[in-house]
Amino acid sequence: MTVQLPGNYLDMRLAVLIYFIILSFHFNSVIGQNYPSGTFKYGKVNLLMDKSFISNQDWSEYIYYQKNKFSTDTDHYVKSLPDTNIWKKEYINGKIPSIPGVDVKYEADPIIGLSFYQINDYCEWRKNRLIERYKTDYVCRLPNLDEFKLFIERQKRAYPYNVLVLIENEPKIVNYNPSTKSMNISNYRDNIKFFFFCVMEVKK
Amino acid sequence: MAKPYTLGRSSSTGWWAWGCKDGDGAGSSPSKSEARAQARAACSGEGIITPPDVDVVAYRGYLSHFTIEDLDGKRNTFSTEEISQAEFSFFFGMPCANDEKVEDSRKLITILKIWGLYRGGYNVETIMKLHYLTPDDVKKLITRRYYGGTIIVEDDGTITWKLP
Repeated sequence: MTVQLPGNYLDMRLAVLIYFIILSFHFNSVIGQNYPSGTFKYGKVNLLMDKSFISNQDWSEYIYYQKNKFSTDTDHYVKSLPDTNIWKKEYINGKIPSIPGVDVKYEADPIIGLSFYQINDYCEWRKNRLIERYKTDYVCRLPNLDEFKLFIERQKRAYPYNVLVLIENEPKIVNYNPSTKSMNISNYRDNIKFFFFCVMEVKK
Repeated sequence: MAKPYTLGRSSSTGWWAWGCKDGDGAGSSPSKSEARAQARAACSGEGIITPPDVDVVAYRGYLSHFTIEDLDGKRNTFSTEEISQAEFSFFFGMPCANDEKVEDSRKLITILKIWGLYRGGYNVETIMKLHYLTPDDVKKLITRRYYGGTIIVEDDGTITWKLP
């Protein structure tokens, strides 16, 4: 005997099927995400950018890696520490982030007190961690001016800040004022407080 | 006691980052199991069970409610509807006329509630299953032979009991 299924029943089955396909696609895209959650993809090519400035917590991961791998009496570890003179000015209790006993309330704040060279080392370290984690070849670097503009569109900070960027492969400090949306670019120098974030290129 | 470390994905590298809650160490690893093993080895913050601080409110000599610290240091208030005077007396080892009437299951529930670990169950078998207790652990708990022991709640919800 052949039974003709009612049309609306078939429609319902189709809707359920489509729903599960969409759900499955969604799960795959979330679970199978092959880049860190603190970054987003942009541009036509495979580029990743940090969603926010590198924080004390992010940097602490780097410090602890150096500490655990090379111990505290090596250059690897010492060179990863921020300049406490700059850090203390900003964070009154004077404790360096990521050092045992740090106040957790500073964890999410941008790391400061670093030099361009320390940040270069960090980019190299981070690139290697990304390659190990995602089995994909990355290049990790500082952003250029266009990338910085894209970055600030996503930020909610209301106060002016300095950011380290690369302009024609030279490190520069961009002072950005969110209220006037103005930018002042100056040469990089040590002992200045600035924030930074990274851009990762996925090499094919 | 909750585990003495935190474990989560790093938003900048995607590695599993861990840190001792007492701030005494941190690190990261590409695999979760490796990170957890490192955290366990480095973080010595297993909580030793000691008698907790308690504030008691009594009305005409009868317990009304009490506020007590759980194993994570969080203060919780219980009324006598939730933990009776006899159960309260049992927990603190105070002599009470109704002590003998407290069933083993209620003794377990009282201890687990006060420690902030209670997940449910009304008979001993279910409580054991939900809290990963062995018969030996139960025996020690209901006879209050647990001071100096340690409890670790793992990420996957399992509980490791190390009772003396």
